[in-house]
Amino acid sequence: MSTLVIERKVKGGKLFRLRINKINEAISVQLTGDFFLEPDEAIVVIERELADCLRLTNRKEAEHRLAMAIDQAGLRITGFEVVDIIDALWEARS
Amino acid sequence: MIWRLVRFEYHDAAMNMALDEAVSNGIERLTSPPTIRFYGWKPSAVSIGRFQSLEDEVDLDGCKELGVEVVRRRTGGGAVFHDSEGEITYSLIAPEDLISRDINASYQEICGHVISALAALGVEAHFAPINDILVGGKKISGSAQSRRNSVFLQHGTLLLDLDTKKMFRLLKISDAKMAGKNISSAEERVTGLRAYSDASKERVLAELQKAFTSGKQFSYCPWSGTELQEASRLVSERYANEEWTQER
Repeated sequence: MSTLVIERKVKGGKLFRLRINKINEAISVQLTGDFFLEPDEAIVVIERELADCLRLTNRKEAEHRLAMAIDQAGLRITGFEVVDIIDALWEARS
Repeated sequence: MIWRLVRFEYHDAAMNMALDEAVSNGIERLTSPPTIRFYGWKPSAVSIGRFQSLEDEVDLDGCKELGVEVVRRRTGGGAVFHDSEGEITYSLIAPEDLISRDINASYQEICGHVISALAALGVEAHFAPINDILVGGKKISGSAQSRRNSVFLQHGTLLLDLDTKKMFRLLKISDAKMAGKNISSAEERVTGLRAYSDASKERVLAELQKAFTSGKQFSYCPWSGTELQEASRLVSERYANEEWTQER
């Protein structure tokens, strides 16, 4: 198992971490930090989508997919933007 | 609309969080009134935000050694050290339609009550979006909101006496969080009311209650039996449950 952690402080002062775990070919992503997200149990929607986005090569497509997933799940996020998360994810990819 | 005001009381960490959720559930079922409560934490505790990593944010060995409890909140935001004697916590829980839908405006409105109370004590404070209040450029109050099932909850703290040594032994502050702040340590970023006022805790509570209830009809009421029963269930099922606390 390998783990990569990317930490970001974003505009407004909130901080998030992406913890990317790889076991064999299975990748999971955990998103932690002092942001606000509602409904809280739907954070798994973001985490699943981020894991899927890691397989993409087109950053714009990743942004679009994450934004769509957030919209469809009716998530309200305060403290970071989709672009912040994808920035961090792309750093992890590199 | 008649608000309920619950007089200051101490509870342990799990019960404090469970009471907030029990009232939220009661409001959703139309069995609890909109509620404002002021409370303390006994024993002292660290509460972490809903999405924070426990190990990243808290020195668990330090907490154990000092007898400090740890609880994961249902609300987002950052980790907070709740010193038994060093702070007052408030919760405002109400149907969502009583509160501004705009998140920044609602934080500003409710933090405004704390700012008014501080002004009555002769202390000039400012709202610092998203969810902080500053005095002299330092944080004296932080808060967190949730809006679930059409119920609004905001809880927050007002720091009185600061034990920064203990606070920053128990809270792990990442270098990234401090980046961009023109200070050399996290200790310099926070302050307590005692640095600016010698008002007693009773006086501070009186000013807070006055500010929070200004323009509202209210009455002092205790918890209902149903709320206490539900809070007990939430303590065992969620807030004192290690699976919940260690979820991240």
